[in-house]
Amino acid sequence: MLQALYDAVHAAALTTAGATSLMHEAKVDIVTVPNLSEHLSSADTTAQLSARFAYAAAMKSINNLLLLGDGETWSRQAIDFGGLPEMVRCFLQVAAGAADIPVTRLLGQSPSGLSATGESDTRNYYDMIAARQELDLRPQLERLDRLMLRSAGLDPGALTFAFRPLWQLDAASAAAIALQKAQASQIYAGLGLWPAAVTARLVEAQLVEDGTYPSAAAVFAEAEAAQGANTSPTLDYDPSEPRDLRGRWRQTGTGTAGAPAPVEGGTGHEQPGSLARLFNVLNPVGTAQAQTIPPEEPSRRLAEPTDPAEREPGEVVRVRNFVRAWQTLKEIDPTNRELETLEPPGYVASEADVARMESAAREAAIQRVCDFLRPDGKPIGERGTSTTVRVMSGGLPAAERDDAYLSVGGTPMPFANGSMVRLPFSDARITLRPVTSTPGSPAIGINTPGVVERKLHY
Amino acid sequence: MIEETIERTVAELRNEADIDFIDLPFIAGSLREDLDLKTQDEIRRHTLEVVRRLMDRGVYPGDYDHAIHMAFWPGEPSEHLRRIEAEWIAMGKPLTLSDPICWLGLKPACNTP
Repeated sequence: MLQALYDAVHAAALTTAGATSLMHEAKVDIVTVPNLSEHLSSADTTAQLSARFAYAAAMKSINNLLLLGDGETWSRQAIDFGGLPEMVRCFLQVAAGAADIPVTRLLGQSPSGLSATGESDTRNYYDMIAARQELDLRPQLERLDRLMLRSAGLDPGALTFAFRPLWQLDAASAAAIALQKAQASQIYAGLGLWPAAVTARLVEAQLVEDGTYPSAAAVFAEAEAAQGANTSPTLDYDPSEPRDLRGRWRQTGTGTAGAPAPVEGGTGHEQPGSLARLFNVLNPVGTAQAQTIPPEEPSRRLAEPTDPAEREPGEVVRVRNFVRAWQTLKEIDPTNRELETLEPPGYVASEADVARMESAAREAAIQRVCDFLRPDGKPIGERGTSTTVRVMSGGLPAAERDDAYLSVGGTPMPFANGSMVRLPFSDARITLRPVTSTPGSPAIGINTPGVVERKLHY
Repeated sequence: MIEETIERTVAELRNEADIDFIDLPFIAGSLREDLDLKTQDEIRRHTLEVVRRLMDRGVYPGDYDHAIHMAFWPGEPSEHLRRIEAEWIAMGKPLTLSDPICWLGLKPACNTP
């Protein structure tokens, strides 16, 4: 393996060195001297000839003046370097390939190709590095760690390590992932699979692990210490209480079954201290989910309505909107991951659930349009009068077929002499004009503000 | 760079006008993509400049029946630009095909080479 790499690097180095040496031959002066052989026939005439050209060179250098005698001529020959850079680049690319390093990284050059960012190359490179870390470095480091831990009198199995991620997320991506994790935590908490205290600890660990709130551990400790001074322990439930299908308690806790009763000033229904207090410290305004529940307002776990007839008006609207968005998403993209949720009977979607499902449907519809416009990564059809105008084949039947495909999940809108559909939960429009100013040439308009604008002629 | 892109866009739209009518959101969206424009003010300003140059080449705004008939707006080009700008600002959001303000088409009487 090293020999192949060495050969490639050696060839690249030789090519570069050869190209460098050519710099000295970039131009060659040629002087024609009559009877040169006679001038070189004796030492005196040879010295005279040398002196003569030394003087000519000095004059040319100092005065930019070239002296020529009878019959002498002067010319300059220059080397053509065309094609040399391409050849050098080719050898460097071979070396980059042999070293398994992207050209963009090895040579520090911009990625080539339309809309290329080099991201995929860098990701492949990082994946290779990560694999080598795990396969080559980890066994040796773990062996070394075991020796060091034993030497320090520590349990070798108690510690582990992880390599730092090679790919660094930008702030926007990190924020998006953090939001998704928060939504996932919210869903888990809503399912009531485990006590809120467990959820709080899990979220705490995640926030600390992710670095979302670097000082979260200290804030938790401080908040818990403050809480411990004047409140009772966190949970007021009895594990033996009956639960509903979602695992939530059907009746309030009373401080029985070993759980201490709330002290004066406590609510009797407080959520576990750490999560609520952390959110209140970090975001005292906007985190309603983590705020303490007043005693006069029974929490949903006390009397969760499972019968649709018992739902409040707001819940009815939320459920209707959620179902509509879910059905729309299923129509557009039946394999979308947002559809892979299992909700028990009687589940009432939250505002966040509705927003998430509508967002997924909107993105799926836009993505469907974008994928349609670039099948196999290339613009669809032929170029029209501009890159945003595409010429398609098939006439009106094809236009109607494509319009139906693009409009899935959309809402019909008024549009004289044609059809217009508003894509779900967005301002995007798809129009079909069967008749245009060019006879027999229907047109589809794709108008997704801020994303893509195209016109298709058939 | 911007001037070249605008002039190229105008030339392409002028060719498109020989084939079909053009909606204003299409012009705005194309300029947003080509010039990587971020704000509605930028998009509106460059779109109005393109419309002005299109009118110099015989392509005028009007009300379109989405088929073959175009009712060109009466008045001078400067009035058209003021009207488009005023309606766009009043709308306060990106143009859509639901409310395109106007379509543009080749006006036969004003057809210039």
